[in-house]
Amino acid sequence: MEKAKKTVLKVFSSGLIFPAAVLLLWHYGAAGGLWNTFLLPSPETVWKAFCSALGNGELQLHLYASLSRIAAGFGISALLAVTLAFLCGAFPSIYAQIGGTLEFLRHVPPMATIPMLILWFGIGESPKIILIILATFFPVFLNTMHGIKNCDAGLLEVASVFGYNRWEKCRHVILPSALPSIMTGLQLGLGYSWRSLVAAELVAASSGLGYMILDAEQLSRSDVVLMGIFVIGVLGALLDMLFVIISRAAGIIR
Amino acid sequence: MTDFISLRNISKCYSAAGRSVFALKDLSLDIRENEFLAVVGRSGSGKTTLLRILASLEEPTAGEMRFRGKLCSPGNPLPSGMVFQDARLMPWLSALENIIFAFPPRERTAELHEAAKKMLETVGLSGCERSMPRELSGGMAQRVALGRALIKNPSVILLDEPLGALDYFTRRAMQRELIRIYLQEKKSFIMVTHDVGEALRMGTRVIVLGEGQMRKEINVDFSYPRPRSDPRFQRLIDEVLDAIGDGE
Ligand SMILES: Nc1ncnc2c1ncn2[C@@H]1O[C@H](COP(=O)(O)OP(=O)(O)O)[C@@H](O)[C@H]1O
Ligand SMILES: [Mg+2]
Repeated sequence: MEKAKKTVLKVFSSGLIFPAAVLLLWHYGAAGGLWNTFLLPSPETVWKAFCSALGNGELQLHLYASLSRIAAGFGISALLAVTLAFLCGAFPSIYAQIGGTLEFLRHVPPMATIPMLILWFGIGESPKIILIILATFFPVFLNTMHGIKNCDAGLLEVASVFGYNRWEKCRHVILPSALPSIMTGLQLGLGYSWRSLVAAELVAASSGLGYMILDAEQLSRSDVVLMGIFVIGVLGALLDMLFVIISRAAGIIR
Repeated sequence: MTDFISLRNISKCYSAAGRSVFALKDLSLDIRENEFLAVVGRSGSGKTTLLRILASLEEPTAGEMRFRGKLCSPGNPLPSGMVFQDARLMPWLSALENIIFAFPPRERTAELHEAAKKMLETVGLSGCERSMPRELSGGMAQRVALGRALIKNPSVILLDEPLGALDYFTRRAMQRELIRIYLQEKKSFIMVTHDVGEALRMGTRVIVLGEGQMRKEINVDFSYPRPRSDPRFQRLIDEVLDAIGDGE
């Protein structure tokens, strides 16, 4: 009796019930003809689209294209944002100069710049990477700035007493104490960059997951569209998990 | 006259919100080698300012400080180790690493690790090498902070109400510990406290600050431990309280 109770409790707390219910509803709804399966194909059809895209290597191609853009854009942007935040922290005059411009840019949705980016850079890799840079920059920059500003002045004083110079204080006091904020910023930035990338690929690209969806739309393949959506969602979650693991490891730089 | 540490006509003026406040007024003081100088005074009497000037965290508005005859300046500070009231340990470093923190990485030697372990022993924390600051009690954190100040082997240890945040029993135990370390280390200790009993129990000399000036100086030449029941002790407490202006 006790055992049965525990099992029930486990099932309820496992978080599996809701997804399973949705999947079942989806499956039986499609099989029973509750809706037009062209508008919402059955889960099996979506799964088949996934297998076939995987089988002919198309999915891997698009995945590779998207992920390498993320790697480049996110990498450049993170480096830029963290460096700039530290410069602004160390030299208030720099922040005084660029603060206003950054505040202006912060309120411009990166998507709104796509027409100009395409005009200037064509539809090659650069506009997409620049878009990712724009989308990632602010969460990383602002969180890093926040971490730097919140560094305990008392700890900095301790470092001064012990003869730490400006750079050593940055490296051994400010960086470690801002690290949690920096990591939060990077994690947010990664999420932003993923979303903006797919959007950019929907507008102008010849490869990538966004493009795959757009292409499928033109061929009226709603199963492939749905498959693309799932891949994007799952991959985004995986990237986030990967990031949590990386940020634990980042503790060693303290 | 000594030629160890001398402060001559030190004034410190802070200006905040358009008003200027003299935290120290024309203070002259000689610090002797190997003494335990206890500094008492009301809150706002300039005790912290005095320590901050000694630690070169603050430049005096007027006056000069000399160490063994040489003028001290920001580029040539007094070799001192400071212990703040709140231990100010780096929360991301272990107890041992916090002691090592006393040396910027460029100054760290191969022997430092062992020396830091020994220092943890000195301050009574052997076995706590890997404890993180959040796992340490207030008294233990202050011991780490003291070890961090001592390991650089400075000529003078500056303590700004180091026991102020501790409960009564921990405080009593830490007073004994500090005296043990003082007797072992043979350095000058300058300790700020607002507890007159503590000052007289610990100091070899007690000075009273009031409104940035020295109000009284008392040499305390009994040996440790000092029993409270000693009538001389009670007399000294009254003297100090009078100098502070305890208005009774
Ligand atoms: N950074 C500062 N700016 C302005 N006024 C200060 C500052 N530090 C101390 N003071 C003033 O100087 C006086 C002495 O302060 P302090 O040395 O901290 O006294 P104590 O440590 O004896 O309590 C006080 O009136 C205080 O308000
Ligand atoms: Mg004070």
